[in-house]
This record gives sequence, C-alpha cells and structure tokens, in this order.
Amino acid sequence: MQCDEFEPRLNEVLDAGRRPQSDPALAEHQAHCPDCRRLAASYQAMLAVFAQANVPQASGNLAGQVLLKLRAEPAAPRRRRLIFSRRALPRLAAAALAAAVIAAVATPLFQTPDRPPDKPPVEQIVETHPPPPPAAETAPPPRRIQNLAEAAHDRYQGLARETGQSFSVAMQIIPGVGGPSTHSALDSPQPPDAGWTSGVANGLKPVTRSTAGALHALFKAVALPEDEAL
Amino acid sequence: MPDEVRDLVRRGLARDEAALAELVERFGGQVFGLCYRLLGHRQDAEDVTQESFARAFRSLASWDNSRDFVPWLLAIAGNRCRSWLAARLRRPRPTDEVDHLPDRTPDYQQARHLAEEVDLALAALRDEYRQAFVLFHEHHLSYAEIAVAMSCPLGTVKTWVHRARRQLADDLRRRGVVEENYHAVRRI
Repeated sequence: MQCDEFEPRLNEVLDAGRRPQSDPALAEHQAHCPDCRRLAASYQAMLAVFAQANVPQASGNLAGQVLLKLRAEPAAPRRRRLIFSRRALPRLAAAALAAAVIAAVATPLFQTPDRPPDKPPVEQIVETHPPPPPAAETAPPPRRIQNLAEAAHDRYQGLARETGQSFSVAMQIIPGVGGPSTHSALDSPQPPDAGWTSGVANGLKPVTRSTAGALHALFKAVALPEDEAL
Repeated sequence: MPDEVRDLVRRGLARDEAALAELVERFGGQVFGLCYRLLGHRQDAEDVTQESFARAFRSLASWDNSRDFVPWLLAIAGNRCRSWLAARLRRPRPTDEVDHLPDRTPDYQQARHLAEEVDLALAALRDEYRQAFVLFHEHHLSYAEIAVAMSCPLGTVKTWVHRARRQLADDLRRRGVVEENYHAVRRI
C-alpha cells in the first residue's frame, strides 16, 4: 500500500465502524510509515475525544414547552395545493413557450392557399383581375366564402408585388449590382420579376431570414425535403 | 420499539397530548444533541429543539411509517438548525458566557475542557460537514439515512464526513488536544 492510499482506506474502515488495527493492510503499512501511523492515531484520538465530549442535557421541561408552543400556535391555514410543484413551474413555462414557437412556425406549413383549379396565368392576374369562378358541374361555393377567397388572393398578389419591388430597389441601390443610380432607382422602382411573383403566388411565401432559418432547421429535424414540405 | 413509535405517532395524529409528550421524552435528547452540536449554543439549541418538535408534530401525517422515525425527525431538526444559522448571521450573536463558565468540580473539569475543544473544532467546520459528521458519529445514522435527511447524494455525504474527520483531526492536533488528552480521555 502506498501512502496516498492510506487515508482513503482508513476512512473506509472507519465508515464500516471498525478499528484501523483490525485491517491488515493498514496495520502493515503503518508499521513502517511514521507519517501514516501519526495520521491514524490522530483520527482515532479525535474520534475518542468526540465520543467523550458529552452534549449537555436540555434544561427544563422540554415536553411541556413543546406542548405549550403547539397550543399557542393557531392552526396553520391549509394552503391550496398546486397541480404542479413550484419547482416544476419554470420547466412547464419553458415547455409552453417552446410549444408556442413551434406552433407559430409550423402553422403556415399547413395553410396552403386554395387556388381554383383552372386559374389563369399569373401575369394576367397581376395586371387585371382575380380568376373567374370555375364553370363547374359541382355546386358553386357560397358567395361569402368565394369573396373571402378572392380577397385573400388579391392581397397575396399585392404582397408579392410589393416585396418584389422592394427587393428590386434594394438590388439597384447596392453598388455594382443594380441599376444606374440610387436616386433614379428610388424614383422608378422596377416591377418584380414575373417568375418570382409566380412562385410566390403558387404557394411560396415571402418570409424573413430568421423565419426561413427556423423553417430550415425544422425540416432538417423532421428529415423532410423542403420542397415536399412546402 | 418501532411499533411503539408508530402507535405514539398514530395517537399524536389524533392530537393526543400524552403521546406527543412521550415522543418528546424519547427523542428530545437526540434532537437537542444535534441542535447543540450544529448551533454550538445551549439556549439556541433549546429553542430550535422546541421548534423542531412543533414542526414535526404539525406534519406528522407526512411521515412514511415504513421508515425509521428518528432520521425523519433529525432531518427536520437539521433543517431548522440551518435556517437558524442563516438567520443568526443577520443578527448580533448572543453572549456565550453562560456556556463557558468554568466548572470547578474537579472530576468533570477535564471533560468540560474536552467538550469545549470539540465544540470549537466543530464550529470551525462547514455546516454541511458538521451535520453529516454528527449524524454519522454521534447519532449513528447510515450514509443512506443521512443522504435522505440532508437531501443530497450518498457520495456527497461520504465526502463531507471524510473531510470533517480530516479537518477535526488536524484542528485538534494543531491545538494539542489530541496528543495531550488521548490517554486521559480513555480514563474518564
């Protein structure tokens, strides 16, 4: 046994309620190691001193005083039990927040715009009117729902057009990328690219970079191709 | 013995004061001993002992009667002592003169001296070390029971007890208590 093993071994023996002399390895080591012998002796002496150092007795009538205390205290009002312990509340709050974020990010995935089956080309829609209602064999939808669908479609087209124009202006402002000069670009923004507008109108939504990043991370997490998810 | 305790607790739940008094009589010494070791002050220890019993009696229903009663009771006392120590840091410390008046009785003078030395050495320990050490060496609780009482892992309790042993041995040896008293202690 090495000296650095002596003290842990000594503690193990004391933990088991045995005397150090009863352990052959300890006895053999301390027989030729004065430092460890001194250490073992100091431990034993300390425990002997501790065992001899009596605790004083409590004075007076302890039981009577406790009962007096109990009688003097009014019955504590019962606190309403929480459904969850207080310790769990921060975790529950974090879980609720995470659920809200996921719901906010994932909800647009399930909101695909309903397009009429025989919708005319996008360029026509941008320039002129919303698509006419389909000449259907099936019964036409109620008028109110149809109006809502048309309004949403118009708004969507408008959003796509405005975003495209803003993007076009920004590209022209950046030196070496865009158009002739900042001033003229701001004065006369170019209309958005027709393909871009078409893509947006077909279901792609203009989103901020952070939302796009979150969606990308979500698609990676569920191992779903982005095209398919959209 | 455990059945008697369970019976006392059952009667105590029905607010039988004789049963509650009997519980105090049985375990008052242990609770006061722990409080005295942890607080190092007689009057504080008596106050906290009373508080501990009052609190234990108010929550008797929460005691799991498949377990031993003493560790549960000592856990409450230990918690009260820690709260008391924390509160004591925020208020002026009362004088210890009464506790340290010299005892002129020849037969007990050395024992009194030893007790004071042990009190001083214990007071120098961290609260957790002191509680774990006293529960193990004076109240003979197992490491598992101490872990439950102190709400910490068993390995941590072991480490605390080992460090307390080392620190106490060093402290008592540095002050010459161990060498000069080791043989005398055995005669007392």
